[in-house]
Amino acid sequence: MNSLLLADLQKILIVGMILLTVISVSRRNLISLINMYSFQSFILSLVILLIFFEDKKIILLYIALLTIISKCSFIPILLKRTQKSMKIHVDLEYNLFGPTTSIFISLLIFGMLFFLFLGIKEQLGANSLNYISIIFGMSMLFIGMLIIIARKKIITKIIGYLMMENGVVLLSIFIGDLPLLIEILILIDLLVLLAITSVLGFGMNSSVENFHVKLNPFRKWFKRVSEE
Amino acid sequence: MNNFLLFAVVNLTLVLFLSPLYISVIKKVKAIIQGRRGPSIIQSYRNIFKLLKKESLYSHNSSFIMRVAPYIDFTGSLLLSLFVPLVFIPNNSNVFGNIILFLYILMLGKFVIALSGLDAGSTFGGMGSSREMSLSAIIEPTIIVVFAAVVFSFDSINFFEIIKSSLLSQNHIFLWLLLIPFIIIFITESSRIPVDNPETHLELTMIHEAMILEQSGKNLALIEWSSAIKQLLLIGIIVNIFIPIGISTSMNILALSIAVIIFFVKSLLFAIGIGIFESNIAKLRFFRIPNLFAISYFLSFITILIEVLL
Repeated sequence: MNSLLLADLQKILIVGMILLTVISVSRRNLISLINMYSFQSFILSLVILLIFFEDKKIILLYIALLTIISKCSFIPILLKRTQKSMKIHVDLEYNLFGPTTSIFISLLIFGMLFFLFLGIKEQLGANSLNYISIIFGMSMLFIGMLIIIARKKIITKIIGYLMMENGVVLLSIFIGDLPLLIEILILIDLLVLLAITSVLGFGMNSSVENFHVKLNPFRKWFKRVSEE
Repeated sequence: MNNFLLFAVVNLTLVLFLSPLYISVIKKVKAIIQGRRGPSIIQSYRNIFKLLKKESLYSHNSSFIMRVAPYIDFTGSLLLSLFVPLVFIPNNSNVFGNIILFLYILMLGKFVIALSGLDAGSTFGGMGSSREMSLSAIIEPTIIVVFAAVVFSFDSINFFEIIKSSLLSQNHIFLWLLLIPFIIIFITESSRIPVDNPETHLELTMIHEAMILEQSGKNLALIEWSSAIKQLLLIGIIVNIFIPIGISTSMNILALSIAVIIFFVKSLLFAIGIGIFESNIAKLRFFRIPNLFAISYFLSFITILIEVLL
């Protein structure tokens, strides 16, 4: 395949990833949020596979396979099970910014990163594709953070965190060689996080505010114990 | 000048006689997906023909605006059809094909129709005009940024040159990102489903239909025809920028007829796609529409940054 065409294809895929992140800032249906995350991970694995066809490094193939197995199938299934146990389907509440404001803030984040990094583009020694992926990875990181800040339901926050992690992978794939070990460690991290949050999600009825109510008996108990 | 005359004749004929077809094609596709038989393909032609034979009635309270608005709108649409090369690209012209002028004439028609909605003094017309104007105020920045992205990436402000350079160079894959914002603009401008429902006359949901509720007879026919023309022109822009295959640049009769056939197929496929898209999606609440526009703004902003600065 033509290398220019390949680079263009990669650019489109990366933009698709960031687009999915931006849409999930304002999306309300939880199932479609989870589907969007798994689709985003699928695009990420496609990007990695395209780099593999160019560079022929076998480690990239492993990372792509790992992404497909864990992030496209395993984590979404777990998330859907958690969502089922929570008995909620939509996340309507926002903390600080409304949905449209959040999209414009993410546009602001992207623009700021773009112009900040333009100054050190030469030092990075990056061609345009590398530069795009660095910027987009960084902005996916921050937009994921925006999701965590702006949304109220715990399951949406988890999805924000997972999208942040996708941004990290995108960033590290293009900026240098990512050892397979670290990738596996990150994945284990994600799975543990998911397990913990689903355990918590059962208990706290899916919103952080309710958590305090649930913890209140513990506080009383602790107070009593310490007084005695 | 001979070249441009041919272009004008071909474009005007195509636009006048082909435009009502797409409305009924979209309706037919939606009907088939919903399991109905649906109206015939030529139903919109019949509607326009029937309305043209009827007399126009005016409210006692209405002024001259009600009487001139349909004609201004229709003339604007005919003028717009000289801006977008559908099957044939003429030599460059300074006036025709200018994107900024195109957008302003598009807005002129909307503005006049909104005024005529207010003119009769009925509550529905005023409501529709206010909704339409607030929507178009929200989408205006998005339209400008999307067209700016096109202008930046093709380095020209003229539709003729843009489509010509899109025809000559095939290396504009990155531009396909603009397809989503363009489709969102198409949906808003032709008041289709996630934004507005063209089939309903329900007080809560109608936007465009509420504005033209007071119009009747010939005037209504002109307004409907003009919105069909605008829809076809937007289809033409999208299809010819993204899939420029088959547009003829010479005045050869054979090449021209092949170009017409290819354009017909392309635009019909696009209309069918829009029909399928519409039947898979529900109408958005009015206050959630800005979200949609914000996303398309985001995409076109990204495209500008990457096309211009990298």
